[in-house]
Amino acid sequence: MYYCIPRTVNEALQTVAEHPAGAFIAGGTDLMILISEGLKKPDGLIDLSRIEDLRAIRKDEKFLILGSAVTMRQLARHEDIPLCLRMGASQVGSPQIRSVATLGGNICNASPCGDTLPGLLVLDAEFLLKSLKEERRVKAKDFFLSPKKTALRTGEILVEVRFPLIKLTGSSGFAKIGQRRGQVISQVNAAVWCTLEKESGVLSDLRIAAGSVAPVPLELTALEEKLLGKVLDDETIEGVRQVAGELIAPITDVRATEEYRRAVMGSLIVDALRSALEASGRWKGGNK
Amino acid sequence: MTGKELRIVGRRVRKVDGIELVTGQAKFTADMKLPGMLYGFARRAGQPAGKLEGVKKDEALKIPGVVDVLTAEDLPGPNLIGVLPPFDQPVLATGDIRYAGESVAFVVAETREAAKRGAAALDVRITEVPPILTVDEALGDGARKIHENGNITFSRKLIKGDADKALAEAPVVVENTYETSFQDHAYLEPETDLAVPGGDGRITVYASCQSPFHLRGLIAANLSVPAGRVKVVQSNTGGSFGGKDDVAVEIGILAAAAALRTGRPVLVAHERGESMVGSNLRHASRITITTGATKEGKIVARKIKIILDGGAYASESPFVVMKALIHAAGPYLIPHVFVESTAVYTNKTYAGAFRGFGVPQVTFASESQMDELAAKLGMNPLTLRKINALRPGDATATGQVFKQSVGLLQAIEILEKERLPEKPEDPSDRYLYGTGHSCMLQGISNGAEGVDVVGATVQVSQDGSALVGLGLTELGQGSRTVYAQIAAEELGIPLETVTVRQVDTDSVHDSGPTVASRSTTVGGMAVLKAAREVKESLLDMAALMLQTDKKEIYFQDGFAILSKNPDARIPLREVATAAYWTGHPLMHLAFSKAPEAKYDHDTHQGSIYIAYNFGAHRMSIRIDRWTGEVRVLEHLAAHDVGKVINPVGLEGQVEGGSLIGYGYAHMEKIEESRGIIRNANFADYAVPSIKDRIPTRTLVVEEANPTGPYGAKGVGEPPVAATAACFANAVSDALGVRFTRLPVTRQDILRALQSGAATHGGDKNG
Ligand SMILES: Cc1cc2nc3c(=O)[nH]c(=O)nc-3n(C[C@H](O)[C@H](O)[C@H](O)COP(=O)(O)OP(=O)(O)OC[C@H]3O[C@@H](n4cnc5c(N)ncnc54)[C@H](O)[C@@H]3O)c2cc1C
Repeated sequence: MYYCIPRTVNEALQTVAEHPAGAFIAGGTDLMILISEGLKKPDGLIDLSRIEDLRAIRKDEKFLILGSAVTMRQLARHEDIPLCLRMGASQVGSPQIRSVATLGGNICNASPCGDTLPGLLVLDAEFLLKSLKEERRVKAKDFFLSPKKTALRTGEILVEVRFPLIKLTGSSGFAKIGQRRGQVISQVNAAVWCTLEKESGVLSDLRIAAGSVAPVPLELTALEEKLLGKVLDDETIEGVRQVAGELIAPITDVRATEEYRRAVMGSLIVDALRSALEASGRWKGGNK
Repeated sequence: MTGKELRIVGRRVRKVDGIELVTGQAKFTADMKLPGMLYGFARRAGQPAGKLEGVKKDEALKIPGVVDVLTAEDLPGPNLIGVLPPFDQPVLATGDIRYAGESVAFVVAETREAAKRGAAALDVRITEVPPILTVDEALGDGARKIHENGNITFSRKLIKGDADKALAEAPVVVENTYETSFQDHAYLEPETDLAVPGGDGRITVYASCQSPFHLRGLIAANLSVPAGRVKVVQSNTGGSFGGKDDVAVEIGILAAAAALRTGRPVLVAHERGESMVGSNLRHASRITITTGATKEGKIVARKIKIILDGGAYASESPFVVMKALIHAAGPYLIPHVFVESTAVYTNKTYAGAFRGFGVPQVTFASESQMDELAAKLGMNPLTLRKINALRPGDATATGQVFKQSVGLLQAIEILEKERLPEKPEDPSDRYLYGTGHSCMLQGISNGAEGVDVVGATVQVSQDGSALVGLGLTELGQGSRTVYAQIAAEELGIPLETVTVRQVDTDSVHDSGPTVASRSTTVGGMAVLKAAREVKESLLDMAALMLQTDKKEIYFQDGFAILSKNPDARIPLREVATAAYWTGHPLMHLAFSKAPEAKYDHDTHQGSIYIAYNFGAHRMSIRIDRWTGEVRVLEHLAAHDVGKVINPVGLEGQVEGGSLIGYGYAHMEKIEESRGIIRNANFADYAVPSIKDRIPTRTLVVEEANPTGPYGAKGVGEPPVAATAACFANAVSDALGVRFTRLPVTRQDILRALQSGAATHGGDKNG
């Protein structure tokens, strides 16, 4: 077992080329569990968490750019980050977990319940993947293939996550539910991103995604279409609550039944919408 | 000033060992690293039932770092454990595999990882046998016998009056069946023992454990050495709640046996998964109750049948059977009671002691039924409880009469005085509100479960400080602080000058197990007696020095003071030094022995416990109709504790116990399929987190208990049962449907709302 601490992305890529059976480790909060349960057996670890470039949050003219080793704690506290991602990050695990767990780890681990993943979908995030040979960008919606399976190839590093600055002009929000309140894995989570027409409050743009309700984080396009052009009044909200559960493909597992996941899907979307709009005083969702 | 009023007992004091614990200075067993230390790891059966055909060690011994592998034949002694008869559990399996967590071999290696790899590499051959996974299967005709004597672990009856006849004649009758799930102790620190060979024919075992003398006895027996060769030191223990007895013995024996074979220290530190699969749980139960009452709400009879799923081994099932039996009728005056209580073997993780010890199960059932009866009578649930509440002079279900220290009515009255929380202005129809009550009793100390003796020493040094030693353990419950307060109070010295020593079996008297809410009551009494003896000796000395009769002297703030003239005082350190030089004893070993239980073994009529803690709880909740999420708005916990020794400690016990009760009632559920626990981790097994804390408020009734120090009685276990029961009643109140199974999870609540079972606020009629 070896443990390498590269200081640059290139160094990390070199290292993995020399050690193809090694594994990248960032916070280790997913990986260490897999290793201790014998589900992954790397011959060594390559630590990405000390590469400065991967820990930065920055902007260029068009994009907000998050390094893959940005921690949940960083995300949760950074004001430029849209609420759907900030709230997701702030509800991952406990303070201890959040100070080491990374965005890149959440993405590459590709668990259907990852709390930042629906947020990335509604923000139209793109991932920059780098290997010694090439560099490519993959959209969030194309990245997740099945539980724990991604488009990432052997020897590739997720370097950064970016999304268009225009996304910062909309409102976004997040909600999750689990078996308890603190340090809990989502039974279901939901993220929304939307814009409203100024006067009428009509939904002019809307994105909805949910986690832990299908093999991969899922965008609910049918629901988005249904709601576009509508005002979020009591009736619309009731409609969301009624239909959302039918648009997903959940399973029963040790944390929740399929039935429960369907039953709460709509309320989580409503709660995510509320968190998106309440801050700016634009929540008109009746009294709910 | 006479020195008569209490100065330290009753005061809000900080835990005497609190600073070390919260700053991380306190060392736990797994913090110890000794030269040459080896790590032990058990290979478990991995299937719930079968015949062990053999274990081949070769492949494991080839793993680098593996030093030794032990199987049953390598244990020098009888390979048998259990805290009480029938001692039916092997340390390492020999023939029958009775549950999936059964240890079949024990690997020791230079590192933890190597030990784990070694355990995985072992060639273990087990022939599968169809497991028995429910109590019905176990009790079915012709069922395979899990143990030689059949599948009934233990069964007892309580008979008072003629319940059948009274029920037949009762104008109002309600009947229902209730079920509860297994619960894990979920302490912060999983079980850990470290065995160190002494090189002098002795062995020391540092253990995270509850009852060090159990360990000493069973480790010695299984090593085939006299008990005196084994020294057990209780390390700081990160919670136990009843859980660190059988399993602490099991890993203590394994570590000790391996340490003797290798001549090196051996550490066994369970991981969370091992802790949940391989140590006892709270019994799952099925309880049927029939209650008969008059139209005015006087209960005339109760008939109760309790079946406890005890899993693969007896552990403490016999005592849990008895405790459930004795408490099932509730804290009420009922002339006719019939209870049958039975524990059954199944091929699952064994059940044993867990804070409350059978009382949470029966209290949930009994208190649910009280609400059902109230509904049938059209009566306020609290009024119904008040009408039937035990009062001083009334006979309990066992016919025992307490003339005092029966503070149930006062506890109920405290609740009545507290206004219900106001429903917040909520124009939406999203939330439902409900309030539930529960009343309960919990026998204090061992009572009918065995002898009840504690030996404690108090030793005063020449500097006037005191050292207290007894065989009961500090498990986080704050008993060290209570003992220090009592010694300081009696000796008239500052609290900071009292030390309560770590328990090690070489140096303190066997005081029985630290269980049954008995530390303050029976342990405290022993400390009080020992302190008084030493004080007498110091008074004799002080009388000589002050040239007066000792009746004229009192001790306070570290001084011997003349009652008539408080300015005439001598520092106690001078008195103690003089006592040393003149041969006045400075140390005493005193015993507190509870009055013996006297009862009929067929009917369980008689004196069972020295006292009961009585409690009345109220919980108000808000339910989210959309998700089933519950928010506890208020939780009032009133208990008759006789006398509060340390209010801070009391609140800690009540809040902590209540949270365990809340987790039990709402969140925690062992998910098992085909005999394998599927959620043996805290991600999937939902023990409450810090954010799930409920706003418990402790309310106190002090009806002095003549058998406890200053009138005190224990409170460690009672809040669990009362909280679980009032939670269930609050949910039922909010939804208008009775839940008969714990836990009532968010999913259960939502299902009730959506299926239309709930008569309040369902989607169909909300
Ligand atoms: C107690 C606990 C509670 C948790 N609670 C939550 C929760 O509430 N919500 C939630 O979503 N998750 C939760 N998790 C899971 C975990 O914390 C998150 O998924 C976290 O974001 C993983 O990040 P990490 O940096 O620790 O990943 P690591 O464990 O370091 O890595 C995870 C995987 O990603 C790969 N990887 C990491 N970075 C890169 C990269 N840049 N390029 C290529 N591959 C990479 C690793 O090789 C590994 O396979 C919890 C975990 C624990 C232990």
